Amino acid sequence: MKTLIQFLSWLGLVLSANLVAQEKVTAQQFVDLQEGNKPFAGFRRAHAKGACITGEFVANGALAPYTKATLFEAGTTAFVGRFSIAGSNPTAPDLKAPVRSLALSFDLSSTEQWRIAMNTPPAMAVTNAHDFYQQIVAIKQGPDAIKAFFNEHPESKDFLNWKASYTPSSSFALEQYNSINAFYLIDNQNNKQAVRWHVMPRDNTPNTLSNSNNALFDELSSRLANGAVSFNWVFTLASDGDDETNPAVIWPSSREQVSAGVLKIKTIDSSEGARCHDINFDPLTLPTGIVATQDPILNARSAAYAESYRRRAKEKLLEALQ
Amino acid sequence: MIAKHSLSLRLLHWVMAMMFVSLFAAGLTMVSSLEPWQPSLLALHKAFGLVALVLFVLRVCAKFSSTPLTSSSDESKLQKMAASSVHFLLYCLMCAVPLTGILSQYFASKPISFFGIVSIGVKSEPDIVLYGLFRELHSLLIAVFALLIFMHVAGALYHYFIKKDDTLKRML
Repeated sequence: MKTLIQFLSWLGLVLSANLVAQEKVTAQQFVDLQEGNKPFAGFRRAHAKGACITGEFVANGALAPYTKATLFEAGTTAFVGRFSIAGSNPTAPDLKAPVRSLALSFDLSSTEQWRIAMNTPPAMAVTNAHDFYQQIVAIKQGPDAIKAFFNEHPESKDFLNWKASYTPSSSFALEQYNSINAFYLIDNQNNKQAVRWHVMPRDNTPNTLSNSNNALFDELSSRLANGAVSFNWVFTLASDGDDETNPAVIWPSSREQVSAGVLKIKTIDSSEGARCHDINFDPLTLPTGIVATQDPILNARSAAYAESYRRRAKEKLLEALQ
Repeated sequence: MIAKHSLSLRLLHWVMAMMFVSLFAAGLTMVSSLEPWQPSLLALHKAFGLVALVLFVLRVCAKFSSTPLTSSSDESKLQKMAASSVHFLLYCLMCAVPLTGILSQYFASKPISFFGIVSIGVKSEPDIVLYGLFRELHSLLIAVFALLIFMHVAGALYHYFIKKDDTLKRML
């Protein structure tokens, strides 16, 4: 009887948590907002326009003492990835997108997968999914709404400072991409170290862009035709005063950094059948040695990505059945 | 003296009943919530889904190794057929629901961790169409499962309160 009462209390807790969750923004509402009134069937609801890439990560071993993740032991590991621009339109003009992205997928073993989704901003403007939802609503409403939104959200200071100083480059290859959220590295003694990471371009040769809607993807294709595009993968280690659960605050530049190795991108494939299209770059798909922090935005990403993935998977299934 | 089902079958029945209700509640919550505890609930749902599949295997073994009870009620042939069909379908779904969940994750290339002890291996490259197939089947079968559980409970209560026979008491 005691067990039954305990179970019923737990069930009540889950159900009431469900009711509380219903009052807040749900994954479905979030993806509804992202896709707008006319969803593009079969495409991602966010970052719909993109191209698949393949390459390899050459680890130098410098991060290995901090994590059990085998990827960081000195050696080379292949990856599949994707460059993309923000937005729900898969044919949008590249140069109008406010955010550029690089996603990576490491197939380390059948039980060890790592998905990474990085963006050009180094911080979020807000600290939780519900405010992020309101931020997107404001962006869709126009400049006055977004101005009012930022006035009501002083935590967006670091993001706005970055935005004021940021000038989009002439190539995906010349951007810095950031993890934004923090993760823990777990070493062999199970010590944890909070980190963020970014990938820094090794190339600095600008290109003249065309006026085409595909200017950035065309530029990357021609750049890759002349050789691999490389980035340094750099980890920033948090100090005691840093809050790893707050994605809106950029850590001081004095924090220790460890360069883990070089990401070499070798091929690009913009076709519909390319390898990365079936991947859900859910940043909570993590290997042993990397653990999520309690950052509310990081923890909300998984459910939103899953909802977007489910919608396009259903559309792809119906397409395959026809 | 009531001829009860074997202790193993009774235990498995109630433990699995509680598990399925919890898994169903957790499933409904985790697919919509953006709260920070969502990933933990999702991980528990997956791990307990695996436990449910193991318990299903044990239950089938327990079922086949125990002597079936003769009906304590004067049911019509149609009622007996309805009851045994619901039972048969419930057994099919006890297996198919967790299996479709596992297969959806297999084709999404998302390893399922069993309480951090071991993980279930997945396809090295995801297949979104097969993920879509098993993900939608998972939801569809859960809806059928919930309907059958409702019928099963209604049948048990009918025996207990209306017919006033031992059908439900044999499982207590």
